[in-house]
Amino acid sequence: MPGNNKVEENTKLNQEEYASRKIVLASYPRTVFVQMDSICNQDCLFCSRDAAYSHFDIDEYRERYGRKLQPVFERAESIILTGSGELLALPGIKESLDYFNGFAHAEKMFATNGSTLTPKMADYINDSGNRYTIHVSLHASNGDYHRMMTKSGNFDLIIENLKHLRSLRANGGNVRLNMVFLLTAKNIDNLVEFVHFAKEYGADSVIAYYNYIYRQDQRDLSCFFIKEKTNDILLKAGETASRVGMRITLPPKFGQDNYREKTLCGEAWSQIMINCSGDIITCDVAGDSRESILNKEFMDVWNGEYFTGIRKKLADGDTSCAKYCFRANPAAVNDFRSHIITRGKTEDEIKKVIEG
Amino acid sequence: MKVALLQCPVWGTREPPLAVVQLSGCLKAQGIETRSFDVNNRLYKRREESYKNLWAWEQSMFWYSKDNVKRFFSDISGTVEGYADEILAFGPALAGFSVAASSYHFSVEMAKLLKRKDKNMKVCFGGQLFLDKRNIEKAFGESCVDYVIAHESDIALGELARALEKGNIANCAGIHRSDGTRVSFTGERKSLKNLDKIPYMDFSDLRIEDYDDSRHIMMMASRGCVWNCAFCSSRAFWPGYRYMSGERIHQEISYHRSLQKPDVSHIDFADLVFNGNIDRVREFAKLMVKYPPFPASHKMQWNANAIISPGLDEETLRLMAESGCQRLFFGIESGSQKVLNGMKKFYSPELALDVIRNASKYGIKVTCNFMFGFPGETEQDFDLTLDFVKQAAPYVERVYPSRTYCSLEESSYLHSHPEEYGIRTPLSHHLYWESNDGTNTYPVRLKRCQRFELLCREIGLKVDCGVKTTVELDEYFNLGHYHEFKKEYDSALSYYDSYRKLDPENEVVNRKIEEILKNMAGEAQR
Repeated sequence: MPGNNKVEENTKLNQEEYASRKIVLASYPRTVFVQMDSICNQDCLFCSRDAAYSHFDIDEYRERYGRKLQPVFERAESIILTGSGELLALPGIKESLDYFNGFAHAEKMFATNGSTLTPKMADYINDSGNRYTIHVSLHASNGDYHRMMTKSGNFDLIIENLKHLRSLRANGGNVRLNMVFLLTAKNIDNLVEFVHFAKEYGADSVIAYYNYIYRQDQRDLSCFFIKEKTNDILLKAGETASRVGMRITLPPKFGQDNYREKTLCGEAWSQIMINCSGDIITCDVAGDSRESILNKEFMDVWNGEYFTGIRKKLADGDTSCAKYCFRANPAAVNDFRSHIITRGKTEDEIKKVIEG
Repeated sequence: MKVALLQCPVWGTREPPLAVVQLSGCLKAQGIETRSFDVNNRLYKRREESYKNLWAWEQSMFWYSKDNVKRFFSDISGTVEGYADEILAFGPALAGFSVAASSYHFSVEMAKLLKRKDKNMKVCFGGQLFLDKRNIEKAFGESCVDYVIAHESDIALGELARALEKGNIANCAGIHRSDGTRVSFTGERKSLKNLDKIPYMDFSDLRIEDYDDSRHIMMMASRGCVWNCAFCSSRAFWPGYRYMSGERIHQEISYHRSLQKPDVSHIDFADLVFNGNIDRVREFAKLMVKYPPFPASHKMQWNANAIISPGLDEETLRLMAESGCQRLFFGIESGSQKVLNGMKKFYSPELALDVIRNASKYGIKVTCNFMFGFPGETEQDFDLTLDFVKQAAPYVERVYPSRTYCSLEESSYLHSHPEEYGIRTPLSHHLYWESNDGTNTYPVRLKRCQRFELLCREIGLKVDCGVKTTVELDEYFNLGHYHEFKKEYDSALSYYDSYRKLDPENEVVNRKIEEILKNMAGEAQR
């Protein structure tokens, strides 16, 4: 970013516009999420995937949105490559990464289950000259827990990949490594051990968060039903991290008296997520969006009815959407509804999940 | 929209059917719920003694007969009904059949059965067979086929499913359809340009461990060929030569390796020619050396079909060997330059010897394929083939004599230009064709093959029998069939009888004998 005027100017303007609660923005989002759905080689207990979904196609993406998104990517601080499935398993993934690497000023971030973060891929990313943050979603520190969580037998492969990455990072480079632990009733006992594991493999940070429930059959995975145990383990994990010198991000504990106050969510000012169909994927609690950049220019969407509506609501002090969001409102962790993905569900369906 | 993909008999049982696993990957990548059903392999696994040889490719003629297949289908009606119910329980709105000449009749029977049970389900046939437009007409005439895709289905089938959902397929290119009276076509579809973008094969429904060789994966990393050999029919389906990069091949192999057990340690490339672009071969080999797919302790090995070309130099072959290349298959076909020229094969026997020698030097096992009686091949030319084998023997692991000797495959140049090659017209039979001068006949070709084998045995060269039964049974069966075709019933009976002595329970041969005796009795009465 240093030395890139477009990015610096946009960031400054965006911060000013957020601070002054502007509804119609002259600035572009600082973070762009690109939804790149891919094939997957695991079958995780907590997975959100439908039985079928289209995979990302970089040619299609460039053809449809390349021109429209060029000014967005040119000004973005970070490009987050997200989506269902295992990103690095996309056929021709290097071609896709090459495209985003063309915006070299922006930090890139993606998540992987680690199995496709092969030495070849790690070398490629390291040699790209781009700054990458890789989230390795392991959720386990050993083969048994890993198999239970992911229904796959590739833990040993992942370990080999992590060893290579560790040696690569020991020699410098531009890759940051975070290890992700999705907290469920099934694996939470393994969290403290996971902190040690992350230390051993040289991670920069451990990120733990609660799993979201997509389907009714995932209800029992929630830590919501084992509050005391969860709190206890979160405490121990924090202490362990502190002792071994590992940065850790933990979710809010249950039943606390002193939660942080609600904050004004800045996501409607600072970030956007776009999928391969051009649809704007919204924050789960803000409601479904019918916006698409397929037949509109970017700014017509960014300052369109949907975004200006949310910004206005938030700017007017209406934080009702934070009721079920423990990112903006940590106290919401105590409401089971905040552990459920409600996007695309009817109230009846949500009720069914809540009631079990 | 759910799509069922089906492979009907007869087809190979060594590995999951390539077309189905590739299409499954493509459909799923398009967001279409898909399930694959290998009816072929399931029937093969449950075959009874009287039908035990039906999956031997050399007896595939059984499957070309509508009556045979109908009878067989009826014999196993309980089993296929069960499969049909299982397929329909998935709820497909479209069933896609991967169809070849050998699986055509069974596919028709299966499609009819599925349609009887669910009249709303649409049926689409696809495969190389439909390059011949007469086969498209024939398929629509069966009253169970709604659509035919004659070229690549990777994208077309998914788009058809999507178009059917919307209720209008007019804009979905590459689809033949029939309204009951007239066949129409939605227009040519461009071939996929970039094979690197093709989704990976999907083995989630057809598990590798359920097949004859559970330690290998078959993969097609290119389409078409840089040559256009006169006898080859596959080239017509894959015009030009398109290929995955070495990087892409390595990526897919690593991916499958991450899903399979370590003992799945072998890749068979089904490419017509793996070295059509030598740079990609070198790129692939270098990646396999630098980044061996995990676990490195179980080194991946690979086999491929290759052409003799100067690009296969010593350094490249060394690199290929280091990367795990275990075996190369060369279609040498003949030791006569004149015959090679007639075949439109662009190399000299001398170059072939060099390449084979170098491959052998680095430990790559070489298999050489040979044909017998290519049009224009004289006894002198055949002797040159025998000379070639003698010279190559120290460097060749085994030879594979073609058991059809020289077949006139539909869509091949040879098939469409018989006059140019001095083949008697009208064409009588793809196997039993004869030269205009009568010197090149099926028995002549068979004899050359036998002489070839004899020589190989004498010099200690391993001969791949290439048949699932035995060479002896194969020859009896084919000669029986040949004489039956020529209406030389006494000879036909004699060969079938010889077959029966070795395999008394064989349903197919026993029926043939019955039919011939009936025919002979009929003729005697007349």
